[in-house]
Amino acid sequence: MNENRHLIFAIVGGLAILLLGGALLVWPNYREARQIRQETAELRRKVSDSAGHTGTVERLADELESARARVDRELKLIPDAPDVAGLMRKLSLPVDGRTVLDQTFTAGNACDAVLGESFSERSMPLTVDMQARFDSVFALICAAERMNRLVRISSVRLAADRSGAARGMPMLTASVGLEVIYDAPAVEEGS
Amino acid sequence: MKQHSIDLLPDSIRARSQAGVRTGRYITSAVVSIILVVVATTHVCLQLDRARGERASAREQADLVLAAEEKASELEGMIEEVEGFIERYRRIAPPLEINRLLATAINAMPEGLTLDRVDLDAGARRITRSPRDKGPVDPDAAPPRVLTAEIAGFAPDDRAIAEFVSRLEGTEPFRQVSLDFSRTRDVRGRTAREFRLSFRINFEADYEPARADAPPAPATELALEETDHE
Repeated sequence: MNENRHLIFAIVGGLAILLLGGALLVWPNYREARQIRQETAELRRKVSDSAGHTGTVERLADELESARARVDRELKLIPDAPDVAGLMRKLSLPVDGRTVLDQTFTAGNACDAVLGESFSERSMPLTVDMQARFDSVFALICAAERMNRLVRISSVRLAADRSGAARGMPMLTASVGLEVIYDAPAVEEGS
Repeated sequence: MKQHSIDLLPDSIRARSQAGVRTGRYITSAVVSIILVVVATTHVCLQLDRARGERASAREQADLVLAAEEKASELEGMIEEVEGFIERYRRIAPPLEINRLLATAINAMPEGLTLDRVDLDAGARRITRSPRDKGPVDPDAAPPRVLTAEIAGFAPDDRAIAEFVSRLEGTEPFRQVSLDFSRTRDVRGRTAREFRLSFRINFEADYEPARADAPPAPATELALEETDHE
């Protein structure tokens, strides 16, 4: 009986060591490994769900490139300042007394580029009054519309100038309304 | 003859021997337990290492996917920005060039017809409302973009005026050409027909973009002749 009790004690002691080792060494590592496996499975699931993203990025990059190419090819520049002086320099025709008798530029006040829209683009009116031959007026209109920056022709008024008839020169009194479009940078509040 | 075993071992020696056996059992039990714990711990540690390696690999892949997602989101934002600019540009820029409209109108003039005045107005205008119009007025609504034009001049006869109107109406985008009046005037002692016509062009409609390489109308054909009619 005494021997059996010692045997039981030995077995119980061994089991106690097993339990202690299991609780202190095996179980925490096992729990961490299980948690990591779950995390890995979750990541892999996400990766497999997002497998098409590489193709999407390539497609979007192509779309962006195409849109930018369209902007470069079809659209004109909208500068961030009206640069009316530069525009006048480009559109000014030599007053030679033969094809152009007079040319006057009058700038107005800037307003929204499109009424009723909250675009950042602004429009600066510029009126060109001329006393010139049709060719010169038409050349000015063409020059304004073929610039690499966006300039709108808002109005064209041509009338035969009968005062030049005495001099035998077919002259016109012309008034060409231009709208210089520019994108004014937003002003920070408090600056 | 039956033999009986004779135990000559003294009790003290026996007790010591039994104590040694018991100690051996305890040690064996402890060693076996420790070995089992070590084996289990080693196994779990190996599993843990392997799981950590797999997680690192999965994280690398996930990082790549996340980077791709971020890139896709960034590209979508950029495309939206460019498309927004294109749409704004379409609203701001006129769909047709005035010089081409003018050239087309003048090239449509029949022989002998002389222009005295040309008015083209493509400026923004507010919506006009009649008293019968109902509903709230939206002062911020964008007005429609329309080009209105008036062309006045002289023709040798009404047939020339009708031909001019007909040619304009048959040419895109001149569709609603109306003859405002036509009356007889005396020009330098000769009878002529004074006329005025008007038309509107809807700038909200879609037009084919003009070819950049298309040559402009020859200026000599576009000369607005001076009239000396009064």
